[in-house]
Order: sequence, then C-alpha cells, then structure tokens
Amino acid sequence: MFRIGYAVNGFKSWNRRGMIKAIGKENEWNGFDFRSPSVLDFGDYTLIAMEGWADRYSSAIGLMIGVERWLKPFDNAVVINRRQSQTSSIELGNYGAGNLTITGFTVTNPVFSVQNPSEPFILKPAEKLKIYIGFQPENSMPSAGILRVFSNSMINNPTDILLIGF
Amino acid sequence: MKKILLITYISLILLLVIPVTQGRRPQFDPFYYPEHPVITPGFQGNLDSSYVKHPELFWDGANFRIYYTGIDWMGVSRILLALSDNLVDWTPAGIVLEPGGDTFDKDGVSAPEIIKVDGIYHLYYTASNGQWFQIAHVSSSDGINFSGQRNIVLGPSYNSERFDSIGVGNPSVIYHNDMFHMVYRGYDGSPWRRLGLATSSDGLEFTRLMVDHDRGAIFGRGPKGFDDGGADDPEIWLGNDNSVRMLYTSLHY
Repeated sequence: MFRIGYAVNGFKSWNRRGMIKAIGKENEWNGFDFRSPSVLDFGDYTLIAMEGWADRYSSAIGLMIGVERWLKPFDNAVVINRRQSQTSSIELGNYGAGNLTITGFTVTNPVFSVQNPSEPFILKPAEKLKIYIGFQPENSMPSAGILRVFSNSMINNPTDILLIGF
Repeated sequence: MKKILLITYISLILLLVIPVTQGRRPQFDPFYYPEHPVITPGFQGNLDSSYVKHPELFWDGANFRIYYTGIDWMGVSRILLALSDNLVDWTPAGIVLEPGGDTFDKDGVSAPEIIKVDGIYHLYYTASNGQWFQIAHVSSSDGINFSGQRNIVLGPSYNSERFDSIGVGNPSVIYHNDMFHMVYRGYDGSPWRRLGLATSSDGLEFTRLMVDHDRGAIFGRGPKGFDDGGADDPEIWLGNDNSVRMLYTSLHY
C-alpha cells in the first residue's frame, strides 16, 4: 500500500508528522494508491501534484491544494419557511490546517438577521460554527438576500451565503 | 395558484442572486483537484499510452508546468511536459528528454526533478541502462529544450553495507545556503525503501552524506503503520519559515 507521508526538520534527521489524507473513493483515480508527491509552496497555500492509482494498473496525475485557513459553508443557501419557523441555521467549517478567525457578518436585506453572539469566533482546524438566521418580513412576498461572512479565510473571502425566506 | 406564484417568485430571486455569487469564483477550487486527474494515460498519444508517473510541478512565474514520466506501450519511459495557466486546463508540450543512445540512460529516463538556479534550469532524473539505476543531470536555459551534455551525478555506492549499494534514483533537489542538497532513493536489493542525502557546490558532482545508522540512510522505515515498509519518491522544499520539509511515498506491506 502506497500513501504519502510528511516529515519536517531535515536534512540529516527528520520528524515524522503523519500521512496526507488524499485517498479517493473506490474506483476513482486515486482510490487505490497515491504516491510520488511534488510540491509548490506559496506560503498561504501549497499545491501538490501526485501520482494516483485507481487499481494496480491504472495511473494518473492529479493535483490537490493544502490551505492554511479555509472557511466553507456546509450549504450554499439558507431557506426559511416562516410557516414552520422564523429562524434557520447554517454551519460553517474550517477546512484549513490552521486557526481561522471570523471577524463579522453582514446581511444585504434587513428582513434577515444574524442571531449569534458577537464575533470574533476562532475556529480550530476541522471545527465548525452554527449560525442562526432570523427572518421577519414586512409583507407576504418572498425575500432574498446575502449573508456575507468576513474572516481571514484564504479562499472565498468574504464567504457569501444565499438567504431565501417566504 | 398561490403555489405557482410562490415558485415563480423564488425562481426569479434565484435567477437574480445566484449569478452574483457564482461570478466570484475562487482562484483555486480545492474540491476540484482530488476528484479529477489532470493527466491520464494517452494524454500525449502513444508517448504516455501505458502510464503517467512521477509528476514534477513547477511554476515559471506565468504558467504552471508538470514534468512527468510517460511510459508508452513498449515500456519505454521518457520525460514529458504539460503546460497550464490555470491548473485546470493542461496542454501537452511533448518530449523533454528521450532515452539516450548507447549510454547510461539508454533504457529509460524517469522521475524528473527541476530546479532553477541563476537562470539555469537543472533537470535531475533517474537514468537506466538496463543494469543500473543512476541519477543524471542535464541543463537548459528555458526549461524545455534539454539538448546539452548529460552526466551522471550520483551512482550506486557499490558498498554492500549501504542502502544504496546497487542503485539510486528519484531525486529531489533544493538549492539552499549556496549548496545543492539532494535527497534520493537507494536500492540494495531489500524490500525496504530508504532515502539518502548528497550535497554539491556546483550541482554536478554530489557527495554522499555518510550516516552510521540504518545502512547509511537519513530516512527509512517508520514505526508500525503507514510507512513501516520505508520511504520512496522524496520531495523536499523550503517552507516559508525556512525549515526543510519533505513529502514522500510511504510504503506499508
């Protein structure tokens, strides 16, 4: 079984840090093995090219990216049906390798509101935060807006989430 | 009727709002890469019809390059090149290095490693003559045409006590503190894979680091787990904190 390991503090001696999680799903190009990494380190993010194997006989070359801080919503939109509830929620996760700080929220339509306690929030790697959205329309027409999340994410910053209420 | 009106309203809102959010695409979409390879066998016709291996990713300041080993249906391995300006769309750019004539690399060239020092592109690669794996070098002014003199820069140690007694290959090289530092894989006939270190002041003549443990290797088998069979295909680089880092192929039997 071939995987990709990571070590630091060379040249003469190294500290092992573990294995990169790059295995794909079964039958995908890297679903069997991955190996032979090549790196471009741009500081904020790292590009890695590697050899992937779908089985013992099928090789391919693919890319992956490692980022230090990456805020990503679990859904693209929050939909609130006021007949069921006047609030809904969405979760945001830190997919990066370092700590991420959420510094603020704005909404483009005042019928929506963010009901969380005050920022900043610090998300450790793999941590997530649930944000509650309120909806108080002035009439019975459907409404839409954008929730904009400001952070020090290296990707999609600010992070926009579509809000729909009816 | 109310339902139809509601659906129409929501559709209109979605039509108005979604293009705004989609138009702000990130420069790189991390989800894209693990799911779709960028180079597959046959990318350059017969040149890589059997296998594509050993990618070497390079940024030339304007474009991305992947140098890689392409193996054709006859089993001949060459070093090929692909170009991209967005990491998504890649263009075949042909052969960078063919196996030589009646020389040390007549049976195949593979596992490219490119570094650029003082405007010169240095290509290090695994050279095979059918008997030995050795590490060779050729240089270029543009990183594409490598027509100059090829030389062996590191061969087997021929020392049965060492991990690299019968072959060396898969080099990774960085230029640091006015020295070329090369981490490479050694062959000694055992199933375990180990890495060694060699240094050079000119990038052409390398001296092995002599370490008196693990058969002279600087990195070998790990504790029980994903790399307890050893390490191969090293990739070393300098991090933004100037520390030396390494990714490697780990082997677990």
